[in-house]
Amino acid sequence: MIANSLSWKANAGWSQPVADLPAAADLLLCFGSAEALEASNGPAAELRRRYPKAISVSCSTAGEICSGSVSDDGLAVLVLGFGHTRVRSISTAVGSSADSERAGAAIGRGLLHPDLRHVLVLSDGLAINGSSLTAGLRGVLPPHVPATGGLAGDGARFRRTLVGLGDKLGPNQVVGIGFYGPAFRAEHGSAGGWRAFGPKRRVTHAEANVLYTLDDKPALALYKRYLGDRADELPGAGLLFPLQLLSDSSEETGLVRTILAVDEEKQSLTFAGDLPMGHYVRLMKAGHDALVEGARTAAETPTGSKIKGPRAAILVSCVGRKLVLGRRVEEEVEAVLQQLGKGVDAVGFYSYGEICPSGLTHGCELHNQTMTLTVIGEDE
Amino acid sequence: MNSLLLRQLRQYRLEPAHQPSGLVQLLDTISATYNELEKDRRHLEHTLEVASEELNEANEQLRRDAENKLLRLSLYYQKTLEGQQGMILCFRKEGNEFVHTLCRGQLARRLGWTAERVEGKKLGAFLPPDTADALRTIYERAWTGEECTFEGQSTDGAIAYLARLQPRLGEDAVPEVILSGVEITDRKRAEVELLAAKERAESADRSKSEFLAVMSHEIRTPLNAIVGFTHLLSEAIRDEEQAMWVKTIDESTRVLQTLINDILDFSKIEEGLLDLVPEPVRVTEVMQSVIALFRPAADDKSIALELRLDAALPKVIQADPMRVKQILSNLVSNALKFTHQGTVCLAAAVGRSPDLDNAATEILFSVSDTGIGIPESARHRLFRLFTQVDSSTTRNYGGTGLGLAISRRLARAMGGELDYTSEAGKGSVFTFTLPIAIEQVADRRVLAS
Repeated sequence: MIANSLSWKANAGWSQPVADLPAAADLLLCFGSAEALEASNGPAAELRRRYPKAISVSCSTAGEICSGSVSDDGLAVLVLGFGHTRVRSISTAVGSSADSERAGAAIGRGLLHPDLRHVLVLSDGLAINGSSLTAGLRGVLPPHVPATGGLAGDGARFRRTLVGLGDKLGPNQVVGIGFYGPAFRAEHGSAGGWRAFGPKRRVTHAEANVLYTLDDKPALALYKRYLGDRADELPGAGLLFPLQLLSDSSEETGLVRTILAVDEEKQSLTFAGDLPMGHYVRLMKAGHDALVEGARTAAETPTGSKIKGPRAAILVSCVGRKLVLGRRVEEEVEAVLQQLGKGVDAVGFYSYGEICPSGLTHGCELHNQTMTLTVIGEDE
Repeated sequence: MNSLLLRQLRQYRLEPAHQPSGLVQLLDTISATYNELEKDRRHLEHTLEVASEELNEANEQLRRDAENKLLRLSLYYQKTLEGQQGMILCFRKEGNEFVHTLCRGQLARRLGWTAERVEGKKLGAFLPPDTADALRTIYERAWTGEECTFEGQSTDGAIAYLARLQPRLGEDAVPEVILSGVEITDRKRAEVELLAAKERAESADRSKSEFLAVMSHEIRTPLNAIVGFTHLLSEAIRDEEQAMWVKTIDESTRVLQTLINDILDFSKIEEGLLDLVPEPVRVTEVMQSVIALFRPAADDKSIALELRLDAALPKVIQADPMRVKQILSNLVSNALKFTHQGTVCLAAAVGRSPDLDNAATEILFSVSDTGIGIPESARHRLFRLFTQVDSSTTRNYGGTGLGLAISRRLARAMGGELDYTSEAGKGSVFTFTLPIAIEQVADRRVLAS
């Protein structure tokens, strides 16, 4: 496997000359701002022209990760070339949140093959119900095939996210990449670092991923009260207080839900995943140190040390972490890189939701507020 | 620029405006970092404050809920205690006096024992002195740990109640006694009425027996004259038709005589005036005389009349021969009366007691017949006065319905019993057991040896 990571910034251009890149590649992963991805004379288009035969995947972000640095309004790219692994891609449109499970199943079915080893899934971050999308994928993929990835971002604006293959990118898209053959290896890990605080609250009115009331009181009012002066920064500021999702007998599920949108008229909050009625939730908070430690923990397992050959890491971290970490956001990326060791090309993005297997759940599950990473490689 | 950073710069005499542009950019970044840290701190402080407020609100809500719940529960208990038909009082001893801690219930209110008059008060505060003294005695007993009950009534006597005192047991002393009471006015009234009715009934019964005894005696005297003169008349009359008339008078008079004697017997038994005269009796002879007495009647109906005697039968027992004969006669008479063909058998056997060295303790007389039998439905009426199996019996067989009632009472008066088994249409067996006194048993053995 050949892996190259590089970045592009509006004021500085490419981090390394495109001409120095290998002559051939199989897969381009481009994470960046809508403009950098869409513009016909932009950097993403430039790369696509250089590798016309490669599968080119684009995904908008709330921040790009390339090696140890995090930037906005630029582009982070991973260029991959395989020796023994076949790669296939599929995309599907997702009409609405309710359509999410079908979209997940469609991606899974489109990629299904006895040689399938791993699925990378990138999805629209606003129109989707991430829980349903992963449920759809789980329903189709065999237990030994995990899926990892995330939901596209739009800075802290929550207005328009883009995903696509080649130059066909736009909102309401889900893309799946399948990796085939016994030589391909992937390892994954996910962790948060958030701590629940305050009382357990019961979900008393919710419809799928739209939450209306907790303990029969408007959920939006609760968020506004906790945000105080920063309430006008909603929905972005809502990321400061994700919800820990507990079962209906108030046991921990390991799942965290984060806000995607706010509806003042209906006094409702839209989350990236479902909040089942009757279940309990707790507000969560985190400080810098806890988040950095969480990121390090996520990278403990998937070190890819068994991979004989070049390794690449795809990092998907939640926009909420970026909001809390602020100027210190790179510290969590550094913690991951330190854990992975030298010789790993790490590229990724800040997302509206992370996708990764969770605990005993095979396949995949939607996460929020985590650092999720997938380390890939190929036995040579 | 952040005010703290600005102060710090001025402290070191570094005026931001006069610095090179690279340094100004760095200072701006530092200033922004200061501001962000400040913002983060405020955010954390605010979070802490809101969480603390929420906790406080939840706490308050819990306290209010608990208070409301307690209040509701307390009201519920109070209403229940006050609404109950009965009453409940609690008291404890303070010094030498009993002080009430609770007094609720409709009965208490009707007795005039309202919560205001009783709770926190001593006995004398709401009761007349004699009632208070009486109650104090019972209170003292309960205070020792003994459960007790007493019956009391309202001052005007209109309400009667039953109270149960239940001491609460503490570590080693009684901390309080619970008195629970129910009204028993109706029961008391019913008891009094029942007692009066019983007395009236007994008095009426006595009058009846006395009346019967007197009347029977008064009737017997002229009846004896009729019997005597009828006998004389029967010897004097030669005309056959007239002789028949006299015979009818004679038979009717004898029936009347038997009836009068029965009534007199019965009256005596009922009044406890029956005199039994025990004397040595030869059982066999008594039985033979009964057989002899009824032989003609049996022959008339072509019924076999048998006598069966147990070889072990004692020769002599101590008994009232007249009464033994009366019972046996009555049984044989009945058997003949209700048997149309077959056999009537009078038998006697010895009953032995395994406890007394298998010694003979009683004689079992029995009269069996092959007569019409007695339906099971008549069992409860059979030994009643003036009752027979049914009303048609009197019509078809005559009799007064006194015989069996008297016989059973006589048997019992002698320490024995009279009973029967029967099957309708197949016959009956009447059994009369007569105990032999233990001394007599011993005597008889001496005689036998």
